[in-house]
Amino acid sequence: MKRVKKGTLALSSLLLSLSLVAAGCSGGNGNEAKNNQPANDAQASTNGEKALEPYEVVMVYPDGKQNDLGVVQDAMNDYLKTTYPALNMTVKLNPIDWSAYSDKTNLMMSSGQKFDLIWTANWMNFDAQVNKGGLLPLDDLLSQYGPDIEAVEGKFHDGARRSGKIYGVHVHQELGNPQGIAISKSLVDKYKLDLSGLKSGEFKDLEPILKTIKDNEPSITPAVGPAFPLGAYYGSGSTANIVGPVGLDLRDTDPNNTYKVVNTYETPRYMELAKLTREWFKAGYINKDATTPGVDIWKKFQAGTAFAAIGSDLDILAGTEIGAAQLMPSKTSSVGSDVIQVPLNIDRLQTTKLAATMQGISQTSEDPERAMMLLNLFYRDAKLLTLFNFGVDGTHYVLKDGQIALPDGKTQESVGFYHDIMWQIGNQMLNYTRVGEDPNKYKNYEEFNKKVASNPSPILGFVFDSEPVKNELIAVSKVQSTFDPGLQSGQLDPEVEVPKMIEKLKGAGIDKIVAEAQKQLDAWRAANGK
Amino acid sequence: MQMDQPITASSGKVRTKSAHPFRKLMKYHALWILALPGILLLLVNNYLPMFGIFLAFKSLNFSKGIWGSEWVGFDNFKFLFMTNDIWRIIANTVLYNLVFIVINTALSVLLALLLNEVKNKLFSKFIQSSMLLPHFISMVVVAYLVFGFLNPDLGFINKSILEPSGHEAVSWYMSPTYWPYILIIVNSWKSVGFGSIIYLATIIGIDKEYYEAAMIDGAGKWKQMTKITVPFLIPIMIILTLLSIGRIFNADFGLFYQVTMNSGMLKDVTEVIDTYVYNALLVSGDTDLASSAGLLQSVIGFILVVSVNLLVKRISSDKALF
Repeated sequence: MKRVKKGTLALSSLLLSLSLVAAGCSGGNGNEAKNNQPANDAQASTNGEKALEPYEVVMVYPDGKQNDLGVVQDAMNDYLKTTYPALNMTVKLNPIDWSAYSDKTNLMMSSGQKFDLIWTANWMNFDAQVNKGGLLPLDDLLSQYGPDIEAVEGKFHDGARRSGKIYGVHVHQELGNPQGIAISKSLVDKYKLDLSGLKSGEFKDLEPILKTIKDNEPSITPAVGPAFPLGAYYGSGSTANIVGPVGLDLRDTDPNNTYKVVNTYETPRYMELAKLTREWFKAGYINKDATTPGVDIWKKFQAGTAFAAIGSDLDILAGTEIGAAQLMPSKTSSVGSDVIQVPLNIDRLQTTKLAATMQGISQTSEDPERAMMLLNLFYRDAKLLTLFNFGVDGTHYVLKDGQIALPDGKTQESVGFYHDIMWQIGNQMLNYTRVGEDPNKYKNYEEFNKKVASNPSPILGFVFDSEPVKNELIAVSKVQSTFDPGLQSGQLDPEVEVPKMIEKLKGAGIDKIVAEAQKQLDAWRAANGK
Repeated sequence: MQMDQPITASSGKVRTKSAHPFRKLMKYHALWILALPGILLLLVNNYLPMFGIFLAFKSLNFSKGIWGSEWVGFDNFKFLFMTNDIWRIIANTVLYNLVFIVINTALSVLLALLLNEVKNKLFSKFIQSSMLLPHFISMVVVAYLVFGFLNPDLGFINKSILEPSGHEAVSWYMSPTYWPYILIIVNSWKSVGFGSIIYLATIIGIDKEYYEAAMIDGAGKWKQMTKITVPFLIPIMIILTLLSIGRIFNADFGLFYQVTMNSGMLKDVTEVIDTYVYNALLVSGDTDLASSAGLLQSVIGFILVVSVNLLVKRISSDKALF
C-alpha cells in the first residue's frame, strides 16, 4: 500500500472528502427561497397627538414573485396613511413562494421571528400551528377590533375554533362547491344526448350517455379523470367527514344512527360507487392513465379525445342546482370549445370548509390589536383590497366596464404585479371581477352561499381534536394512499380489495379513531344540545 | 490507508511528536489553513445541528420556546411503529441500500478497470465526463427522464418498444413488480460514474513497477488485474462501503419519492423510511416526528458503522476505517 503514489492518495482523499461535503450539504435544508421584499422605510408619523405608536404590520402569505411588490406596498402605505391616519400603521408584504411556504412559515414560527398576519388553512398545518402555540386566540380581538369581519363571517367561526377559542378568520367567499360532470357540448349536440336524466343527482344515470359515446366514437374516452365518483363526489354527497375516512354516513336513514361515527369505507354507498367505477373501467369508459401522475384531463378536452370529466369541481353560476345543465365559462375559455357542466352534488355547509382559507395572527406579533385592525380593513375597504389583489390603477390594471383588465400592451408576465389570490384574505365579495369573468360572479356566490348554508351538515360546528390519535391518523392515511388511487379509478376490484383495505385500516388503528371521534362528538352534542 | 502509519512507525518517534503539539501545529500550518473551510463547513452543517437532538424528545411549542417546551419521552417515536407495515418499510430501506452498495461497488470497480484499459486519452476523458454527468442531475429531473420512458400513453418503452413488437403496453406506475429493477437501474445509472472515478484515481496511482515485474514473471492481463489492481482497490472499497453502511437506514428520498412519482399503488415495493416520514409530516404537519425519525436513523447508522468497522478490524486490522 505504501507504494501507492502520494498524489493519488491526495486525489482520492480529496474526492472522498468532496463527496462527504456534498453529502453534508444535501442533508441540510436546501429551501432557501428568497423573499423579494424591498427595503421599506417605516413611515413614521410626524403627528405627535396620535394615541397609537407607529407600527408595521407584516403580512405573510403564499405567492409567486412580483416585480412591483415594493410599488404596491408603497401605494398601500400611502393609502393607509391618508385614509386611516388614526391607525398610524404601515404594512410590509412578505410573500413566500408556494413550494417553500410550509417549511418557511414553520421555521419563522419556531425561530420566533416577528410577523403579524399569516395566511393559514386546515390543509396547510393550521392544526399543528395551533397545537404548537404559533397562533394567537382571536376572540377578544375580534369582538373589539373586528366589527366588519363579524358582520360577514360572524356565523362562520366554527371551522377555526380549537378548544373553544378562535384561531383564524375565514375569508369571506363561497361556502362550498358544486361537483358533477363537465361534458363537451359538441358531442352532446351531435348525438342529441338527453341530460335530463341527471336531475336525479346519481352518477349511474350517466351510463347510457357514456355508452353512446363509447359505441360511436372509438377514439374518444367517454369519462376522464383522476377525479371519479369516489374521489370528489362520494365524500361530500354521502358522508359528513370528521377526520380522514372517519365520519357520519348520511345515507343511513335509521334515525338512531344520525350521529353514529363510522369508517366511511365500510358504508354500502362506498361499495356501490366503487363497483360502478369498476364496471365503467372494465367497459372501457374510463381512461387507463387516470392514476398516472401529471395527467391533465383538460388537455384531453382540447385534443378532442375526451367526452366527460366526472367528479370535478364546477363553476358557481346563477341558477346552479343539481341536474341543471349550463355552459361552464371557466373551462369553455381554457379549453377553447364549449363545455357544459351538470352538477350532481352541492356541498353541505361543513365545518372543515370554513377552515379551508384563513388569516391568523402570529404569537410573535408585537401588536396583535393593530394586526386585527388591518385585517378588519380587508373586510370593509374595497380600495385596500383592490390594491392588494390587483395593484396600482393604471400601472397594473385598468378598469373596463367595471372589470379588471391589463393595461394596453401588457401581459400577465410583463405587468409586474399579477396574482389570483383574492381567496387568501378579506371579503371577496368586495372585489372586482376580471374581464372574461361573469360580472355577477360574486352575486352568484352570495346566492349560492344561501343554498349551501340552508343545508348544513348535522355536525356543523364540531371540530375534531386529532391530537389523541395523531399516530393512528398517519398510519391510516398511509393505507389510504396505497388503495385510493386504484379504487377511485376502477383499476382495483372493490370486492377483493376493499375488504383487504378495511383489514389494513383496522391494523392501522382506525377503530381507535372511530371511538375517539364518537367520544368527542357525543361530548359536543351534550354540550350543544343536539 | 494513511491511518495505520503512525502505528507502524517507531514508538519513540510518536512520543516526540505528541510532546510538542503546538510545534506540530506550526509545522503543518499551511495544511491547517487549507483544511479550515472544510472543517468550518462540517462544524456548521453537521455538528451545530446536533445541538437540537433533544428536540426529538420534546413537544415543541412555539410560544413556550425550545427550552420551555414539554418533555414527552419517546412519544415522538410512536408514529413510526403505528403502521403494521413498518417492518416492510425498514426491510425495503435496508435491502435496497444493500443491493445498491453491492451493485454500485461492483459496477464502479468494473468500469474503473475497463476505463483504465482505454488507451485513447480523449475517448477515455469523454467517457469519464459523460458517466459523471448523471451524478449532477437533480432527482426531480431524473424523475421526468424516467417518466419519458415509462409514461403509459406516450412513453418511449410503451410506444417505441412494446407496441411495435406486438406486446401489450404496461401501466408502469401501477405495476409494483417492475419497480425494484427500475429503481436499481436508475440508481446505478446515477451513481456508478462518480464511484468509478474514485477507483480510477486509485488505479492510476498504482506503481507501474508492479505490472512490469508481473509481466516479466509471465502474468497476463487477467492475472495482473486480479492479483495487483483489485487488491490495491480493496482498502478504498472498504472505506466507501463502510461509509454507505452508515447511511443504510437513510434512503435516497429523491429516488423513492420523485422517481416513483409517489404513486400509491407502488408503495408496497417503494415505501422507505424517508418517504414514510415525509408523508406522515404531510398528514400531521408535526416536525417533532421528523427529528425523532432522523435521530433514530443516525443512531442506528452510527452503531452499524462502528460494529462493521470492528468486524473489518478483526479480519484485517489495517483495512479498518478507524
